[in-house]
Amino acid sequence: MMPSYFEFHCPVKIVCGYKALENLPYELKRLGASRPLLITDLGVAKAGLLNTVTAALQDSEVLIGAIYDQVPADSSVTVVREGAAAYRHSACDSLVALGGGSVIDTAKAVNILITQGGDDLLQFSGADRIQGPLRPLIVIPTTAGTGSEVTLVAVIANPRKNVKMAFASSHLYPDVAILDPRMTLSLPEKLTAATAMDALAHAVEASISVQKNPLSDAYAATAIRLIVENLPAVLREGSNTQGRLALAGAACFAGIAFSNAMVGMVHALGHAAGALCHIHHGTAMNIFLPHGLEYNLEKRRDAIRELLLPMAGPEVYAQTPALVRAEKTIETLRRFQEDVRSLSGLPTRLRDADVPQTMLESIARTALDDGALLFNPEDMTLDEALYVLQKAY
Amino acid sequence: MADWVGSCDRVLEVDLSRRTTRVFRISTEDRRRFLGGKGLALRFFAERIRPGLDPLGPDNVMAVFAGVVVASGAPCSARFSAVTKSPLTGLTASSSCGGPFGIALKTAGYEGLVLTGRCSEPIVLEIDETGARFLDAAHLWGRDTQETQEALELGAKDGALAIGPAGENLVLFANIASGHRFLGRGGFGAVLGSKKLKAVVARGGTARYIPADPQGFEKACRRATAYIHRNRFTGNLYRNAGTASHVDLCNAGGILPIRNFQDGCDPHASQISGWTMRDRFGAKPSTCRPCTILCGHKGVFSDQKIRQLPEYETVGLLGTNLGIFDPDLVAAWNEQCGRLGLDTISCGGILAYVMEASEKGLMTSPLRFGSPHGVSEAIEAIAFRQGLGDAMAQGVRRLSEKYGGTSFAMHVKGLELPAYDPRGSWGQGLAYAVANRGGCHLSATLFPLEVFLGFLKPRSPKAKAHFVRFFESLYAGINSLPTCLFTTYAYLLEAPIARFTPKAILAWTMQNLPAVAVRLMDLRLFTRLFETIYGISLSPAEFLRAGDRIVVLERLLNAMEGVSRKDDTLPERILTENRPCDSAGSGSKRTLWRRLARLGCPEPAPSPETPPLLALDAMLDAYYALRGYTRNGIPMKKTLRRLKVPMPTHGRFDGVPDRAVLKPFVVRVFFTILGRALQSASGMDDVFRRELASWPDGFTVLFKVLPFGPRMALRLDGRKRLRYLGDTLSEREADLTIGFKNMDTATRMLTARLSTVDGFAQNRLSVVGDLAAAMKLTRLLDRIQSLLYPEWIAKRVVKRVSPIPMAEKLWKRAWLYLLGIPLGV
Repeated sequence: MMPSYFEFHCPVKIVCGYKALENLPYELKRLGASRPLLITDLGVAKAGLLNTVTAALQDSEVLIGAIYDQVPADSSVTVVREGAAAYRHSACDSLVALGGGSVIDTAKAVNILITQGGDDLLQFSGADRIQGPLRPLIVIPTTAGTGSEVTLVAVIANPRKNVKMAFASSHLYPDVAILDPRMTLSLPEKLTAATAMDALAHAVEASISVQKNPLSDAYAATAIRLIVENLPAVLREGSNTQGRLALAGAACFAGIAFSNAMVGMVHALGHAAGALCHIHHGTAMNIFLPHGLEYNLEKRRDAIRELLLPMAGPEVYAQTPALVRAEKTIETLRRFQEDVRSLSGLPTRLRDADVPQTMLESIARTALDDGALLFNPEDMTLDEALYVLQKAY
Repeated sequence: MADWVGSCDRVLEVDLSRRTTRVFRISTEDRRRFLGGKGLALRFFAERIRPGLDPLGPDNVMAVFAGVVVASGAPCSARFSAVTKSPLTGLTASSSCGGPFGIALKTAGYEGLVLTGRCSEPIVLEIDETGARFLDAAHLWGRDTQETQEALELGAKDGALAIGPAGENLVLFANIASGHRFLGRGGFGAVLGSKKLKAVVARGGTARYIPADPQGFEKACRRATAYIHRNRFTGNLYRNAGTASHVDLCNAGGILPIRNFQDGCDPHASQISGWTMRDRFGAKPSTCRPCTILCGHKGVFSDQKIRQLPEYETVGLLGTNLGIFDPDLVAAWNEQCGRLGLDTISCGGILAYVMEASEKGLMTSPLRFGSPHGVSEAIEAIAFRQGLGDAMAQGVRRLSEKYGGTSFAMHVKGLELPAYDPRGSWGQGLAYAVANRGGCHLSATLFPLEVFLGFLKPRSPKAKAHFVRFFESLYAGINSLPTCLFTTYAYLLEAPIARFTPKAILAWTMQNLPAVAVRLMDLRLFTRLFETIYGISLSPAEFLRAGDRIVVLERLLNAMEGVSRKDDTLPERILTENRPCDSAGSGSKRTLWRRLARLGCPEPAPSPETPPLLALDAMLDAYYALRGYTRNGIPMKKTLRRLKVPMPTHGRFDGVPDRAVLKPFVVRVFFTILGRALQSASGMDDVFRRELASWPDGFTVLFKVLPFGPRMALRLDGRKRLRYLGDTLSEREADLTIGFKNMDTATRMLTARLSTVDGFAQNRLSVVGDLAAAMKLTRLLDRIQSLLYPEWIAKRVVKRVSPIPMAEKLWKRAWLYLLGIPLGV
């Protein structure tokens, strides 16, 4: 269906596949950079991925100016400041982020500070507060989920004020995303499942959002198909390189889809649950996704119906009468989640994720102020949010 | 000896490169359109230049014009005007001066002088009725302005233009002296210096001028003189204490610049006011000649030397703005600047910048606020471009670009600010921002209306655009007669309509019906002088139209140099910082009935309420609309056609689109409805109260059509109610900005043809600020639309119409439409 109007933007060059990392020096050169600050976390460093990166820079003009490897799982203002200081101290000229969502968001925020000057990140928080183009930024994701390598947002915690600051600006898009299967090989099963379900939630929500459009639909459908086809295989055999690459690609495409179509209530609830109960984002997505589809079923029956094709394949799609395809989609999703749960132990109910029932109401309240709700087809009220949470419990 | 009626209509054009001269006549058509003085100077300047030329190169042109009123014997008829391209701003500069050159030029048989080209070695240009002569000036080169004029052996009827060492050394804000008066701002001296023209001498007294209608002229002069004597400013303040009498008024009004505009008043200010100087040093008139106001004075200073008492701008910028309150020092520096040929305003602004930059460690110099140490040496160094003085000679804009600290570089378009802080006089801020020559207080003066006379509210954008436009055109007209700008006080305020109307009614009319107020201003004295001297009729409307034409032509020349809305701004400090004097006592103002209403209530702790930041954009929008410019500040083609502004041949302005009229109007109307409805609903609707309870006090939301469209702001007050602020708020105060990416989107969304949801979904809105706050706001918007619209419309614009009981919905809707929107309750 062609909407009356839409916008689509993704300026990120995607370098994806076997030995993709070896292109890093070429891409840096193309961006006029030769002295990057490498931002990563200790887990990545321990897994030995740094060596792969430095090996790729062998015999090139590129010299790593400094390595900052102190990014925690939830990045904070202090971390960003330290990163910026490292950049300035070592006279770097660009950034390379190697890691998961937190590392990539940190790199984006460091990029704000080093380009705009100063140490005060707060004045740039919110939407569109950043002026002018930033320094070159190349990201190498080591998890296949957040899609942060192709989005225009960064989320950084401000522990002193106990809030998460969101930064959104088209200047925050990285210049290049390098997807190399070697980078995700070492990811443990449960995390693999959680990040893949995160990507699936991106893709599914993007396909039913009010801002969906033909381009985002294409990316979302591809992502869904890749995840459904490859996740069980990867969970069974961790060293499945082709499967890993497919998941990394799927996360990236889902990222492109949702940063253009935006996400809805599943993410609103997920963000709130994550902030209040510290439940892993991928787990939360896994839990809320079917409920989100059910909630929006009436308003988005047509869109949900079309998800059956990438999710269950052409045979099932053709055999299912059009009238019940939407329900069939949700059923297929549930069955897929059960498979994943038996393979990885990823919980599908809130109670299994250690969320106390007493927290549900505050989660609902927080979720109502989440920007993602703007793009949900249905206008969720407090009571309804609570109802969905009860069901997911 | 020749007798002329009104004017000789002759212009002398001198090509300095080829040393040739020609004389041409001013046509009646040009006279009607441009009057004389600044108008004609600009007209002949405009047709001789092209965009991008080097102001200090041979192609620059300087036009110096007397006018109809000059040498007529009317009150204050010694003024003359000059126009050139300023090396300081790179834009058109105009200046007016009361020295003897104007009358000398006109009585030598020329109304105007146009200088083009460049000499190869220093010369003096001597003009008399027979023509021009080029005299060697090697022996004068290096002498100061007063020595030079003495060496020229000027007779009683002669007048000269002379530059000092600053002009010779191409200091970008060097001025030209004529007697002890100056063509001050914009670097006229550097232009003469670049042409190697040390001085121009007019040997006058040969041509005589008689008015066309001697009796009418006599009558007009009598009335003018009576008005001047009667007026408080011209007849008392300026006559007795000079323009420096402003010090007390500005200090009281909080617009006196202290330490590079870091504050707006100071307890020591009275030490340096005109009245104190009069008491300490005596004040003998030393003025333009002839003059009826007598604002210039000289006195005997502590070192027993006789000097000119410094004018207000000099006192402000070489005094209080440097933290100096000693009139002896200021007068000495004033004299030094005058002799060297330096503009005291720019010079003071630069010294203040250097002092602040030195204190902040951006540069090393001995200059510090409050200390006279090194100031005199610095002035000398600027004029001779030695050491740091070389950088300082480039003006504050280039200086701050080199050393940093552009946020406290107090200039507009490169011209240093005069001594009225716009934060206490917003109309003056608009005047600075849009003035064609840059930060200039004589393009339009609103501080008298806002601060001295109290006719306009100083900290409100209301009505300011009308008065800036009016004064710009009026002053352009007055400078084209030319006569003294100060006569405005007398001729306007002492005219019967202003004199006999109670002040409260005057103020109310000016504040609320500015378009009517400016039409009621009595300008007939100015036009009568012109008519009776020159003999062609000139209605007040034609007079103002000529002013419009001059202002717009000047703007057009600037636009060809690339000036647009982005340049019509004020220094960062003015737009973003509050001063200590702003918070003191500003909260104590409370009207009588409010005090009564609060009687018996416990007094709330005085809130440390900061005054609003200067809302320049609102005033700019209104000003451009009045002037017939696009929203980006470029004169529209139809404006040029309407005013018959001669379109320069090298135009590049064929693609300038007109302004849209209908859609912005619709948007404005709906913004008002929406804003008032939100304000009203926030007081009576439970959903609103619940939502707003969690918002921080003072949270400000701005709705705006990008890039320069209408605007509307709402702010949460202490009682958790939204206040509709309309378009009176600086955009910098907004915590959340909802920008419609174009006018069409705004029109469609506000008229319920595009839903809020789709607006966001289709990315047609730009949200700047906190996203959670934006989320809350959309819930309020949904709610207000459910309340305002019948269900069949509401269904289309919100995702889900909130279920409201019929009775509640009906009374709330009735309340909103009958009381909320019309009355704002």
